[in-house]
Formats: sequence, structure tokens, C-alpha cells
Amino acid sequence: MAERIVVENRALRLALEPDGRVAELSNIMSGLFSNRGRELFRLRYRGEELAQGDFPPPEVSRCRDSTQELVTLLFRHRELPLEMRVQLINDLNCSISVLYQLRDHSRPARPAQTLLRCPLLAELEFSGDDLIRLPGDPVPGEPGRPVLRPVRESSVNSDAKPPLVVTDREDRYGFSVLFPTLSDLNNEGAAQNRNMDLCRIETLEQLRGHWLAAAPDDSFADTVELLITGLEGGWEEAFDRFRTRWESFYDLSEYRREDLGWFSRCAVHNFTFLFGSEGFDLQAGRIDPEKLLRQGEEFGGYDTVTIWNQYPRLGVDQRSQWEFFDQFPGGRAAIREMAELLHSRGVYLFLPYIPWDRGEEESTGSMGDRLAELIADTDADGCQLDTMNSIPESFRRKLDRVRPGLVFTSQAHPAKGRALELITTSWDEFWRSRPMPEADILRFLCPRHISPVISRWLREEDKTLLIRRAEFSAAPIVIWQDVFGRWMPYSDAQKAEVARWKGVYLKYREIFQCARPTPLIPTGRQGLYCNLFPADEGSGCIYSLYNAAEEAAECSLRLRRPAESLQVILGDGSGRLEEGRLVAVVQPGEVLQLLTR
Amino acid sequence: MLEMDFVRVPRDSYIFRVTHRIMEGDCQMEHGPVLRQVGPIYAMKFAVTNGMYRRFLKDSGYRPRDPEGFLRHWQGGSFPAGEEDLPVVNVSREDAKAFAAFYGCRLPSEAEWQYLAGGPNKLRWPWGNLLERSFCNGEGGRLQPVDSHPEGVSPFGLYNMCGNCWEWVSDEFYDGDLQHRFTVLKGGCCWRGPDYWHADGGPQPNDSHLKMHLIGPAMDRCATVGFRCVKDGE
Repeated sequence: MAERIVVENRALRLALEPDGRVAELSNIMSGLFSNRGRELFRLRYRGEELAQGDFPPPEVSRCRDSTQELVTLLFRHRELPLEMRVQLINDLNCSISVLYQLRDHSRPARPAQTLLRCPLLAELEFSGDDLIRLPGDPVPGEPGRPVLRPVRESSVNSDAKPPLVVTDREDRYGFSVLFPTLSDLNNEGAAQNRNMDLCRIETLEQLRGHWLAAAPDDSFADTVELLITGLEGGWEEAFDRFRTRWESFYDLSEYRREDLGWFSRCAVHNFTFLFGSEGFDLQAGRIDPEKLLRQGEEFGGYDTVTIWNQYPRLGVDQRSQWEFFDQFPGGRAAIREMAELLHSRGVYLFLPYIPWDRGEEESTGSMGDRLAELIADTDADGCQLDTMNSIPESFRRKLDRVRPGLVFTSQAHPAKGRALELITTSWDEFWRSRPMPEADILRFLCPRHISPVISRWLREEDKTLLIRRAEFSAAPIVIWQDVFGRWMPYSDAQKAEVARWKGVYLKYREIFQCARPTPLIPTGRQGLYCNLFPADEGSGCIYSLYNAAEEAAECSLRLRRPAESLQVILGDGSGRLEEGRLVAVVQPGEVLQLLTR
Repeated sequence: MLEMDFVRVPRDSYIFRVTHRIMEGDCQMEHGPVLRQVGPIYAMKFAVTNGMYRRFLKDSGYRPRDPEGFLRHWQGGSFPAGEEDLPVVNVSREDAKAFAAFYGCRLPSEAEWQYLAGGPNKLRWPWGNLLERSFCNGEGGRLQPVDSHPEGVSPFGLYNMCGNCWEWVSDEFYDGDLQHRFTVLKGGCCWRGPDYWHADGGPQPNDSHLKMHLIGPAMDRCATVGFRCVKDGE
């Protein structure tokens, strides 16, 4: 009698019946048996629906090397030119990949739509009463508005594709399922790697009812891959594993450069439109940095100033962004004087670079040279790259030569890959007027990439939410009040709140800027959200809570790190430790930050 | 001037698998996971250099049947002064195979190449599991000597398995009914096209490859593609 096929490591057991049906997929650390009696796959092929049972029992082979065990199941359909190879890759630790490789060896080859369903995935459960976080929308908010904000709407520019996470209600034991893909294109006519469809699943209905379109050919291309991991630390562990995998494709050495480190010690950034009176004396016709800094004191003091001296004037005639620096009142000398004054007050200066203002005679090389000249002429500390989401390698080299320590920042997050290695800061800019609750995934995926929050068009009442957003995700903030000629100031109370936040942020900066923060740990309470910041050296842990409801909310969270004391460091709520749990009361619309040690 | 230097790699087997960015057109071949035997073989510590290739031409009298683009960076029958230890590029797979055969060697298969780069622990990069750009020549578009970056050698002590120049392997494919002819390139190179739609470049993980359509020597000879050889051991 044929035996079960069992793949097991310290966290998972995947057992299959001899016919390939799933007898069990369990997290063996929990002691629970899960996912009994599942099919591995179903297919729709040229108008016919095929259950796994329509294939004869698979041919099974097994091998291993020093790092992995491999079990291969080959299902050959008796009549159709169709084969399914399911590869079970055991990492001999805590993960098993289930890799589906579909082959259509019709002759002549005419790729046809073939729909694949993975019932093991669709029906995945841990205990039957689970917390489920979906890859395309891990923390559901209002329909169409994810709370964990993807890096960019365009998936071509992002590799922030979090896993499906299924855990018990205590957010401890369960499974994460990552859908590995190095690709972005999602052509239904392609044969290889259809994981993009899985990465985009936003609703339980989509997960339960998925049918993935593939067009297999004569090779056993990777159709779909499920990288399943057994969890004992819930969402935090799942997110951390996802981040570790993400990091392995990056060289983050620019982020370790000491000369660029000053930016991480800044909390309040100013963006000033130089055609207005915020930082310019219209009567005297000269830049007035003293006035700008005096206003900044109400916000707790500006740490950086970005001047904007061309858009929307640029284009009235043929003068370039470079000539605007020459011909602006006082020319480059005035900007250099401004830099000197700011430096004497411990404030850094950013100048803009306008990528879209490229003259017919200009090239990537000449633009980099002009920018380097500008920085050398003015002694500015940083460069705001406007709408650029990547820079040529040569820009970094040219600017390093004239001004070591120059920081690049951009209006939106850099594109994935090399751009994110070179552009070490960017704005967390968004356009929605009600920005809470929301957490920017890059802030947690790459916490070294400091992203001050900003939304230029927020009105007076929205600005309070903007500050809450900065507090909730422990981020710096950009104060932008003159939006190219539209004056949109903060209220006195809001200024005071920014100042207060600056004090807290800088006091606990090393914890907030920890290497392994987690966004949006489950709170068990609707409308209550919590970000987690555990100190790298284990000296403490900050729970940052936000209550989006209209009434005070109490929650009881499992302590994510052992603690003996608790301290409120921001907000008017309260908290206490109680038998290994953190009990907190958060006022409506407020952020409450609790430091445990 | 560097000479050919071989490292003995004992017999082993490992689970070979390739994953990579997939652009339009797919990559119709076996990507694993599948158990592959490797060795015993002797593998070149360095990629073949301009100097080694010039000696080969002298000793063998090799002349490609279609010389267009052959060693297009050379002038007057030799490489520019000071470039003797740079990897030889602008050679087709046939030019590479001719070199290998003359010395009783061959090109490595993709599975062999990947094992040589990652070792039995299947490291993601030759030096470990994290990308360290300073350990390789992955930017700027200028080749470096094949013995550069000793900090980035593979577990078997092979140099520049990542970056500097892509490397040819012996695998060659025809998909469908002789629809296309292609091979794969391994390791990445010192050049990265600036746009998303450019082919991959820069440092590439050991378990990645780039599909390379083959069309003719002039097109197939690239300024960023070189090779190294292996020979079977006992």
C-alpha cells in the first residue's frame, strides 16, 4: 500500500495522500492539525474543468542537498497534453515552498488560457477562527482605501509585496504565505510566474474564489509559487521575514554613510516658496532667512529648509532652472549667504533640481555637471529631486566630489532597486485629505529610508490629521504653508503640537528609527491601530496607538517584548501592564505612545 | 599578466533552481528545482582575459568564420595597452568554445556555473546572502581586471562571478519547433541600462539568469559578455 508523502521541518508538516491530496498542512509548533483534505490544484483547460482527482496518482521523487529537501510530484493527464509538476521545497527550517509548474505539450503549440486554482491556498486556515491579512490589503479600511499604504500605486516601481498571513486570534501561531516574484509585468498570455495576481488579492472573496490565468507552454515554467512559513510570532514575525527577504536584494551601504547621517537627526522640515513673504522680504527684495527661522521656532525649530525658486514661473521664457538661480535677487551669492546663516543655526539647506526642465542641448551628463556646480557654488546640504524617482549613477559621484554629505530626497518614494539604494530619503507625500489611519509600508520595510510626511493641499482641519500621521508612524514632518502662491498656514495649536512631536521624536529617535519596526499589529478592536517600534538593543519598545473611532477605546495587547514598566511618552490616554499584557485607553482621534521597558 | 589558473571542485550534487525577472517573451527552459550532479571539475579562477585570448589566437591560429564584431575593442590585432588582465569580451559563444576546446576545456553548464558561484550552501551572492556592491564591479560600465575584488570571491575562490562581465554557459536552447535559439547569461556585469525596459545589468544573484537570444556573431558579441572554462576532473 502506498504511503503518505510527508514533508516536515521544525515549524511545518505537509502531508499528502498517495494520490496527492493534502492530508494535512499544520503548524507543528502549535500542536494543531490544519488544512485536512484539501486539493492541491484544479484546472480549467480548453473549456473543461479538471479536478486533481482527474489525474492519476503522481509520480513522486525525492532528493535533498545540504540546504533543502525536494519532493517532486508529477501529475500526467491520461488524455490531455497537460502535466502538472508540483515541487515541494523544504528549507529544513520553517518554510515549505509549494511550486506549481504547468506544462502544455500540445502540438502544434498554441498557448491557450488555462486557469489554475490552488484550493490549499484558497481554503487555507489555521484554527478555524483566524485573523487573516491579505497581501493586497493587509489591514482593511474603507473599501478601496488600504490602511497599510503600498509604496506606489504602480506595481512596476514597487517590490513591496507583503504575504498572506493567517494566525490565531492572539496573533501568535499560524502561517504566512509569500508569493515570490521578481517580475512586475502581468501578462495573461505569459507562461511564467503568475504570482502578481496573488500579490494583488485584496478581499477574502478574491482569495477564496481565485482562478489564475496562465498560458503554459512546453516547458515546466514556474506558474505559481506559495512560500509557506510556520509562524509563532504572528504578523510581526511574518512582516520581519518578508523584510529580511526584501533586504537581501539591496545594498543599503549608502544608508550607513556617516556623512549622510545628519538627515536622520532632523524632525521638522520646511519647504518655502521663495516668491512669497515667508522667506523673502518683498520690500527689500532679498531672501530673508531670519524671518523664516523665526516662524520655524513656533514649530519647535526648522531642521532643514528647502527653497523653491522657479516653478511655476519656469517656462514664461526660455531661461532654465540654472539661470533662475543666477538671476533670482542676489543670485547664487545670496543663496550661499543663506546657507551660511542656516548652518550657523544648525539648519540644513536643500535646493531643488527640476528633472523635467531639460533644454534641447542638455544631456544627463551636462545636467549632473550643472547640478554639481550649483551645489559647489551655494554649499547646500541636500537636493530635492522633485518628481524624479531615480537618478543616474553619475549624479551621486559628481556630487560626492564637490559636496560630501549631500543628501538626495525626492517628492515621491524612489523606484525599487538601485534608485532606492541611491536616494536615501524621500517624502511620504499623499493626496488624500483624510490621511488617517494609514501607514506607509516603506517606512517599515526600509526604516533607514527616512520619509517626512507631507500633503500639500491639506486644509486647516486636515493638518491635525497630518500631524497625527507623523506621530503614529513616528516620522518627521514637512511644513509647507505657501503652496506655490496659496497660503495655507497651520494654527497656533497645530504648531505647538508639531513642536511637541519634535521633542518626543528626537528624544526617542533611536527607538523610533529601529531596524525592525512593524506596522499595524492587530489590536482586536475595530478602529484602533498600533505600530510597534522595538529598540534594536532591547532597551525598550514603543507602542504607537491611534484611535480612529469617535469614542475612547480600550485595548488589551499581548506584550511583544517582556516589560516591567510602562510610560506614556505622547498623548493624553493611559496605559498599564497587566499579566503580560498592555492595557491602554486611547482618546478619539488621538495618538498615544507607550514606552515599555 | 595573469595565466590560466584552475581550482578543483569535488563531486557533489545539489538542488538547482533559477528565478529571475521575467520580461515579455518568457524563458522556455527548465528552471528547476532539480537535482544536478557537479564535478569533479577544474574551474578557472578568473574569467579568460585579453592576454589569454591573444595567446590562444597566436597558438591556435583561430579565426572566426564570421569575424564581424570579433574583439571589436582590440586595435591592430591586440588589446589596448594595460588591458591584458581585463576579461576578454566581444566574443561569441563559438569563439569562447574554440578557446576552451583548444585547451582541453569546455564552457560550464548553467548548473555548474551556479554551483561554482554559490557553493554547496547555495549563497545568493558569491560572498554571502546580502548584496554588497563594493564586493564586485557592478556599475559604471568599465571592466576591471579579472583578479579584482578578492573580497567577493565565491566559496571556491573564483573571482568576479558577480559583476564585471556576464559569462557564457554551454546551455543552448531551441524552443517550440525550432522557433528561437537562445542561451542564458550568468552573473551580471558592470553596466546597467538606465531604463526599466533595458535588459538586466549590474550585479545579479547567483540563481538568476538573463535569457539571451542568439542571432549571429556580430550581434552576439557584446562588450559586457565574457566567459570562463572548466575541465572535467577525476
